[in-house]
Amino acid sequence: MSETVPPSLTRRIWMRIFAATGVIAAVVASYWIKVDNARQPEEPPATAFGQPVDTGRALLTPRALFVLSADPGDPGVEPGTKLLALTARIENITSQTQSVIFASPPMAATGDLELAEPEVILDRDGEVLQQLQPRLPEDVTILWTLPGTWEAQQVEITFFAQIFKLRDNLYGQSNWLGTYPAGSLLATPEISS
Amino acid sequence: MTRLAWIAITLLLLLATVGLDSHLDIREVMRDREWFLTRTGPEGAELQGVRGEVKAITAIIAQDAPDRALVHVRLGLAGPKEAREAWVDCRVSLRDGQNRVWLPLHANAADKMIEMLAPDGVNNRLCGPGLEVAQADRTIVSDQLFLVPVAVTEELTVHVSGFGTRPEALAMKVAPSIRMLP
Amino acid sequence: MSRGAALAAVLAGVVLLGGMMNTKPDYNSTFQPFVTNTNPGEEGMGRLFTARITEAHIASQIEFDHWGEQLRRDSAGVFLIVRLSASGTARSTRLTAIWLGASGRQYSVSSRVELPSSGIEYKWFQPGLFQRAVAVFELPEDEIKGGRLALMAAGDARLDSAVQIPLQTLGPKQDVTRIGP
Repeated sequence: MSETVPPSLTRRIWMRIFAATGVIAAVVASYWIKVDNARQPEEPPATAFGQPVDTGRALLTPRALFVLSADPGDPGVEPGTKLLALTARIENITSQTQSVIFASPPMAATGDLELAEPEVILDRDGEVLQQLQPRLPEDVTILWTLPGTWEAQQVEITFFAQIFKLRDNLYGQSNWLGTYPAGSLLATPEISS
Repeated sequence: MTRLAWIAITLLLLLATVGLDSHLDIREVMRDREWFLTRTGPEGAELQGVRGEVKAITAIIAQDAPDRALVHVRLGLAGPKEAREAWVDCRVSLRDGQNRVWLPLHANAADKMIEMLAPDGVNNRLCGPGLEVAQADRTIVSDQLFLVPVAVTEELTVHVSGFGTRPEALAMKVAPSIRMLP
Repeated sequence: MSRGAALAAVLAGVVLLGGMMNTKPDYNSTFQPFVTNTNPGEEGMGRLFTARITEAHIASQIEFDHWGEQLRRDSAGVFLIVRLSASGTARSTRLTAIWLGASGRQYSVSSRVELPSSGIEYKWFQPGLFQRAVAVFELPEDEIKGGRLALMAAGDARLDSAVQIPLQTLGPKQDVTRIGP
């Protein structure tokens, strides 16, 4: 064993200053991230009818919101069921046919109640929308089933956008990742018979 | 000299890493390929505890499409429950002399055709699910329909394997009886 | 080695590494399928299949049978109907068809036109047997001229083969095309 020479006093002081600076920097940085998160509002930006919302794969332009009675001829529909319908125009803005229209479907909330996942109907066919072709905008109706006890009131609809990464962190391949709220629409639905 | 030893150790560790890393991939490929064949006639043989045989094979040729044949293969599998469970699933294919592979038809139309073409009019469905649930003392019969060119009907081999048996498989050389449809 | 030479070696290494990092092909281009370009009207050969376009035309509307019900579909663009003849080579194979539009956009076969008995996405192609199939695309009309049909074995196309065939002739435009079983 060779004898180790203890470092000089100034050297020891310098080492401690460096270590302390690192710890302080980490504390300040994490504190600032918290402050910054609190400064940014959680709510998505407000949107309005006729104003397009970018959902990542598509541009969705809401047009009108109304309540209608479900077609009694549909199988599995209880008589008297009311539906909340949002008509919209939707355009695929990617370079490929998309079969995932919404990674997270729009969410409708009235009062304290969140409605179950909606159906998206292609107006042209009256059937569930399965694909969106690039450069072919389509008119769609987004339908939520309302509970029997529902009374006319304001509805908040939140749209979500999906994140696209040209090079993801794992393989560097292009990929669709998580979603975040991209727009919120406040409206009172018209009651149509 | 020590430098050479270090290089040798590095190479050895590199090889070990590659080996460990590819081990799972190699096993996955082996579970998918039929490399080691037990070659028999239609009477079949035992493969990992389950006896497989071709009970009937018929090639059906329609007059209006004389270049192609529908081949109906009725397969029988028998063995103790544990052995059948170890097979996991069941894959049946037809091969010709050039090792081209035909897979069974899956369409609804194929089910109806088997009912029409089977000698007893019964469709026992594709080999696969049911292999592990059926009664132990019973031979599990399955029906599959293939579409092949007429030219290869004389050189066909029925291949049968399970997820648990691969890369081992049964290869049964068959001579289908020909039926002409008006 | 002098200090200057060592520094030069390190710098050269950094430049080389930086160059490699910035010119390395990304995941998408590394793993894309191997493309075989086929002349119009000729037969395209992939790893597991071979295929030829037999006819193609445009229609404003499509009529087809859907479980006994007659359905008619219209479109904001047009329907491109491509009929082809294909066979498997090494094994029974299913195919995926994509229209590569003139603008570079990729159009999948339309799911609004379900053709369980003739649609390309439902068919199995057997080795040694040619079978006919139809692929219906819904797209803007200007994507057709200058576009190509791409065919791949169904499933994962990465590092597998893809055949690209341009149209030789485009038949006259029809108002309604009826696609039978």
